[in-house]
Formats: sequence, structure tokens, C-alpha cells
Amino acid sequence: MWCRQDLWKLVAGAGVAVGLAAVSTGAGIPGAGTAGASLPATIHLYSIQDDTGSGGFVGLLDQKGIDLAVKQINRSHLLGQAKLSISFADDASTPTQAANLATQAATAHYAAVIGPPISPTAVAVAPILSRANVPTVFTQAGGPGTLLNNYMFRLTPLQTSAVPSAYKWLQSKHVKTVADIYDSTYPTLADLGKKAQADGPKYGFKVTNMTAVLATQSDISSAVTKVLSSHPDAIDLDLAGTQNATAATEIKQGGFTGPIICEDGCGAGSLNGAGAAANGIVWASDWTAGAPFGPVSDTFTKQYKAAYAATPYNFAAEAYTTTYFIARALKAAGTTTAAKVDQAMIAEGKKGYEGVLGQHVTVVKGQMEAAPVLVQWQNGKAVAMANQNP
Amino acid sequence: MEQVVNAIVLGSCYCLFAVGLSMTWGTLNVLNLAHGAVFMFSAFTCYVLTQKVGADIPLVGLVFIAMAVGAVMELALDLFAFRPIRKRAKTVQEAELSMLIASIGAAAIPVTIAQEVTLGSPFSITSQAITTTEFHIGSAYISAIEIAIVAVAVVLMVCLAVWIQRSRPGRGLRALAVDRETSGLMGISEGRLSALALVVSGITAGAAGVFLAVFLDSLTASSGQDLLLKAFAAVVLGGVGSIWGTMVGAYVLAGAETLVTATTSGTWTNAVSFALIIVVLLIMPSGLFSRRKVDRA
Repeated sequence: MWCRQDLWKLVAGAGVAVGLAAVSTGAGIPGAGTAGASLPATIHLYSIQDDTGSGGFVGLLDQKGIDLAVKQINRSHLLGQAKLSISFADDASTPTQAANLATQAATAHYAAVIGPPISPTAVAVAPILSRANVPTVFTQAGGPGTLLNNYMFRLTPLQTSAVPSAYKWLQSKHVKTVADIYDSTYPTLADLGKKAQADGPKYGFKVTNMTAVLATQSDISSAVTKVLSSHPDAIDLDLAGTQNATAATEIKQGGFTGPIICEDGCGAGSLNGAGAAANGIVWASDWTAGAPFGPVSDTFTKQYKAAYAATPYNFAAEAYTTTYFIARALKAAGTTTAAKVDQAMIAEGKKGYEGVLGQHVTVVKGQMEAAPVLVQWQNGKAVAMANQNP
Repeated sequence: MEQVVNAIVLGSCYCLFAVGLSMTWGTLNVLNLAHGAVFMFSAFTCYVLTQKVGADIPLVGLVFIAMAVGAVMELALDLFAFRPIRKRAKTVQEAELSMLIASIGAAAIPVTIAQEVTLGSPFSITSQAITTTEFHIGSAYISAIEIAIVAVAVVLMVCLAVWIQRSRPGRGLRALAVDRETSGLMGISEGRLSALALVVSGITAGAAGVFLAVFLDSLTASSGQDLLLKAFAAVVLGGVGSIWGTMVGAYVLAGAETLVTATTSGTWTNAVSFALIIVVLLIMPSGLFSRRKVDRA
């Protein structure tokens, strides 16, 4: 007959056995499990994306790029026997929600975290993940307050470093005065407006009119009218999403025929609604399908089209690049330990690599540097300009 | 002169969008926050027909389709959400709060569908059958679609105001707004009139969706939610439940926004516009077209 003491011993023994098994297999711990001496069988990555809300447009495209990269990395056995697994969470473009998700990620010991793509949410997660020393890679978020320590990376070139190519194009058109309409809700776009004002004189022009609009404004007619009334030689649009198409149409209706430049977001379908009214608009981009970025870029475009029956936009290309960057760092590190993965990322970025965004791309102090391409809207498509050095 | 045209067109946009919200809020005490989603989804349906299916439908046809979609969506909202809530709620206040929350939840469904299909990208309604021309009046210019928006907004507001005041269902809605219980005793069917009011609201939302999608060249899945705050402000400014008040509130709000954008950097647009509303409400708490509390419609 079993006495109570025997029963408790049995339970305790079973508990120890289960505990040992759990520790040895790493059950429930992301990134754990064995596949040999170093990398675990499954490496868990986490991505905080803006699937809904104002950043949804970017977040969903990022997700496609990441998904494609994960599938290809696993298929090609880039990490040997280890497989990448990615979990997505939607912060709905809300900083508080993003912070919540980052807090969960910080304690879940993911090998790396990707996103969010817009500055307001990226700035909310950066302090949390940087304090926890979680290797984190932002894609599009260009505002300040994200690269807080050497665990933070941004694998999209800053628009402020690419936009001078567009200014040079304006200079080649002998533009003397520029009017700027910018969306003051997003730090990246506000920064671009300020940069045009600060750097214009270097390229022979002066910004004579700066008008802000808000992300919640759908109808920006009054801002366009104000800008047109200053009779500029050229117009600079630093707007978000649908505002680009609205502005392009209203500028055309207003009879303006001078050069127009816009920010990189124009390339992600924002000008589709304007149709022919947007013809001729130019912007500097880190990537556009069909531009000469090398064989890796061409292959990515083909594979994306095969997977999704659609031409990729730069957001997907940036997220795809980010995932491969992380995978190569994991391979070099040979472990999912945060410090080692981070060191491998730093080394990878310093060395430079050939990727979708160019044949030699570097990451300096967490910030990607890559040569931009001048793109023009022509009959419903974003096309790399023939003359890249105007 | 051009800024005056802009203010009138913007005010008309707000009118078209806000009138449905004002009507349901004023007559049924329902603050329907799914109104923005209905507006967007009506336009989205036209986008699917013209861009995905490739149908070449003229603007008039698209407007009717959008109105039908809006009407069906609002009717579904009434049948599957609002009506059961009204039956189960113990008090009127409980019902109103529950319907408000239900409308927020209901809004998520069409927004998510649109988001999934468009991948969050802006979507537009373009068709060979839709052409727009411009007219120049001195230094100002106005497009055919802008003229259509102003005309439709004014005609719709006038028709709705007359309908509410003079027609039998309109009088029934006004009676419901005053005293639900007594109205029921007088043989006024709350269920039928509630459905009718929401259908009319959906029709106006649908029309607004198509016109704005063509005027602005593109919308996103969240465009309706962005406009809700402006509509809310226009309704409160004009006086809840007053169609004329909503119209005036919309044009006053649009005028204030246009003036601020034209004379400042533009960042202050929302702040000044809403500060104006606060000032008006401090002086006239029930709005510009306030009425005695007993008669909200």
C-alpha cells in the first residue's frame, strides 16, 4: 500500500524528470532546442509590424518580404539544419500597443526582432528592446530616437541621405525657387521638408514656401493652392500615402508645369490614383524594381512576382534584405546568444555585403548606407531614370 | 478666390459624410462609429468592380452601387447588432453605450477586409467611363467632380431636412427622438424607423464614399475613420440632430481649416479648428442651431 510520503516522493521525482527534460530540450523557450552543438533546431524571430492603422500599407508589404526571405533561407539551408521561424504581431500603428508588444518580446528571448516600420511606433519600442539588449532591426522608420545602442540597426538608408540626388536633378533643371508641402505627423517627412530648406542653396534653389498638412487630412486642396500661389519653379512633396496622388492631381489642375519631386513613399503605389497627372514626378529611392541594383535584386524581383503575382515595392525589398542580414549574422555567430548575434551583425555591416539594395551595402553605427537611384513616374509605373547623374 | 472654392468643396465633403451620422445620432440616439467604415467600404466595392473585375461603369452607376452597398451594410448593422442590443438593454443609456461600442467593433470587419485585399495600399476608382474636366473662373479653377460634390451635398441636405420635417417617417423619427415610449404607444414602430434611418444614413455614406474617392484620387482602408472626427466636430458644432446645423457646422469647420492652412504653416489646422468649436460650445453649449432639449430632430 502506498503511503502519503511515497506518493509525494513519486510526484517530486516525476517533476524533476520533467524539469530536466524541459531544460534539455528547451521546451517553450524561443530559439532553443538542439540541432547540434550551436544553433537550435528552430530559431525564433519576432516582427512587430503595422498591419492596420496608418502604417498598414508599409507593414503588410514588409511582412511579404520577410515571409519570402524566411522560406528561401530555410529551403536553401543557409543555417544548416536550423530553421528560421517568424512570428508577426500587429501594433496597429499605435505606440502604446507597440510598446506592449516590445515588452513581451524583450522577455521572450527571441534571436532578433524586426520592426516596426514607422517612426512613432519604432521610437516606442526602441528604448524597451535596447535596454533588454535584444538585437533589433528597423526597416523604414527614419525618425530619431531608434538607434539607441549598438543592438539597434536600421536597414533602410535614410531618405535624408538619398534625397540630394533629387535636389541635383532640380539643379539640372535650373530651379531657383521651390515650394514644399510636407506631412508634419511623421518625423521622416518633416525632416525632409527641413532638409530641403537647409540644403537647397547648395543646389541653387531656395525654399520659398513651406506648408504643413496632417496625416488625417484627406483633402489638401488649401495647402496646394497656397503653394501654387507662391509661383515656385518646382514643388517638393513630402507627403504620406493617398496625399501624394491628391496633391499630384490638384497641382496639375492648378496649371503647374514645373518639376516636381517627392519622397520615396511615392514609389509604393501612392501615385496610382493620380494616373497621368503624376507623370514626370521624380524621387530618390533606395530601391525600385527593374533598376540596376545587381543580380541579387533581379532574382528577388522574379521570386517575389512568382510568389505574390505582383511587382515588389521597396518596402518588401528592405524587409527581405533585413531578414537575410539577420540570417547571415546568425550563421556567423553560430548561436542565438544576443551578444554574439549582435557582434556578428556589426561585423557583417562593417564588412559590407551584396544584397537586394545594392552590390555593396554597408551598415555604419547601425545605419545602412547604400547608393540611391533616381526614379520617375511614367504612365502608371515607377521607372529608374536613364540619367542617374543629372 | 481659390481658397474660397476649396473651403466650399471641403465643407461639402464634410456635409456628405456627416449628414448620415447626424441623422442617426439626432433621431435614434445612436452614435454610429461604423459610419466611416461604411463610407470606405462602399468606395472599396466600386474599386473592386472597376479595378479588379475591370467593369467600365460610369460615375452615376458607381454612385448607385455605393449607395446600395452602404444601405445594406447599415441595415445589417441594425438587424444583427443594434436591434438585439435595444431588446436586451435594461435602460436607454445602457443601450446607447452598448450600440456605440458595437459600432466600433463592427467597423473593424470591413476595414480589415479592405486592408487584406489592398495590402494597405491606397486604392482608387478609375474607369474609362469616368472623366473629369476643369473650369476656370477668373484665377480660380474647379473641376467637374468638385461641382458635383457641392451640388449633391446641397441637394441631399435639403431633401433630408425636408424629409425629416414633412414626411410621415420623418415625423415618426422626430417623435422617437422626443419620447420613445409614447411614440410606441402611438403606433410608431421603432424597429422599422430605426432600420429606415440607418439605411438612409448608409445611402449618404455610400454616395460620399464614391465622390470622395474620385475627388481625392485614392482612399485607404482607414480613410473613413480619419473623417469621423471631422464629422463628429461638424455635428456637435452645428447642433446634434439638426440637419441644417450639420450643414452649417461642416462649412464653418471647413472654412476654419482652410483659413488656418492658408495663413499659417498648416500644422495648426486641427488645433485651431477644434479650438473654435470649443469657443462656440462655451457660448452655445448645444451648438449653433441649438433647440430645446425636448425636440432634437
